[in-house]
Amino acid sequence: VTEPSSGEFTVRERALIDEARALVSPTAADAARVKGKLWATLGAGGTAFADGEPPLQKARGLALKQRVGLLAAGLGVGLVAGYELGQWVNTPTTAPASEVSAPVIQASHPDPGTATAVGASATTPAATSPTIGDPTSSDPRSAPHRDAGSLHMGAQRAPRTSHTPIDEVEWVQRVQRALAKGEPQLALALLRRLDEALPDGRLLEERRAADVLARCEISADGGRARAAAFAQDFARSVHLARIRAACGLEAKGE
Amino acid sequence: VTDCAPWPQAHIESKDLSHSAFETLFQEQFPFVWRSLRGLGVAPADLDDVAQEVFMTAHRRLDVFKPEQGVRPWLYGISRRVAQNHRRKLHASTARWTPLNDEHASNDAGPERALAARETASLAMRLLARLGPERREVLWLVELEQFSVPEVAEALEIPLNTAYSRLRLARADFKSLAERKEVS
Repeated sequence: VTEPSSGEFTVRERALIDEARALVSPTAADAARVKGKLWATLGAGGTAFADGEPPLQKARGLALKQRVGLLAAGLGVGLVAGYELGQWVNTPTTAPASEVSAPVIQASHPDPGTATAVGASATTPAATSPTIGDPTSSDPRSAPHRDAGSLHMGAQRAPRTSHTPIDEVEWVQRVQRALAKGEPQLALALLRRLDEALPDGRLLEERRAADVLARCEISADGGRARAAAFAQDFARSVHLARIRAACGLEAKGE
Repeated sequence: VTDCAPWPQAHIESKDLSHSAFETLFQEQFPFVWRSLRGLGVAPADLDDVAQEVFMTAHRRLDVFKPEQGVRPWLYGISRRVAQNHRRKLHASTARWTPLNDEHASNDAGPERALAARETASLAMRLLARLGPERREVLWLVELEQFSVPEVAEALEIPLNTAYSRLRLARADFKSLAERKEVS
């Protein structure tokens, strides 16, 4: 149970938001339709990128390529830094106390009906998974604070702490729901937040499995390598068959 | 475990950089842009054209992109301006943010979505529609898009403290509305 004044959403409120997100997400057909129009426009007559480079960009030459490269680098940096920073930052000390409350990630105990970790293996200690930072005892004012002046994108990383209130089971469930809905990027973002808050949880096998599945789904670099590493570390995992299938990993003779 | 690098290094160094890189940008960020435009109140029927305009603008403005800014706050800023221009063109300055209902959902959710989930989502959208636009925007970015609050401040060009304050108030409003809905 989350205190009404704590700010962080409960399981039910998160479920509402997650469903809304799924509802407003585009389908593959939406993406293909817009991409077709966009490419046709950029390619000035439907020949966009037919030879590997759109006419517009050919005209702009190398400078544009460099900018895209810059953007490419920024995408990685921005996403990583953006997620890694600030997620667990509490109210800046410069904030007026009367107006701004600390955005503490408050523990939300999972619903009894959904307490079992999705995809949990037989060895998953879901029932005993820790809920760190009991909301009934946590005081936002006692949580670590960071100065607003230190909050620069891509500059610093929030210190890892085992005291950040976050419920691992609930968070893993969110990750699994994101995967089930075909949103691997969201799954990775959630895993990143979980890693920051709880680097030493009890569902590491599930977290690593979800990480590998998400990467293989988006064909991200390192997906297969991570799958192989997972197979080595968790040779008896119930997730292994699914990972092998998703990542195109051949099963070794057992 | 989760250093996400959705832009393969190979694209940066390959000969067909502009094609591959921009295509990757589109593929990675299209869902985000689409959702953001919906959150900014663009009607479902207009999403195709407005989303296309966002990426056209991004393509034109690559030269002013700052990597340290982050791609998503940058794209969100573009989306905001394009959505605003779109509203002006439609003379819809008085138009209200419309919640997504079931008839709108048909294009987004797919036939396989369970009715219960659709109803839940519709309820969430109606609740979001009742929030003030400034609070809704912050809540949307943080809760739906997993923005950090500093990213929100960057994207909306508002002070960090203001972003935190709006988030706190938006969550409180949403909770209150959700509780009332449950009671009723």
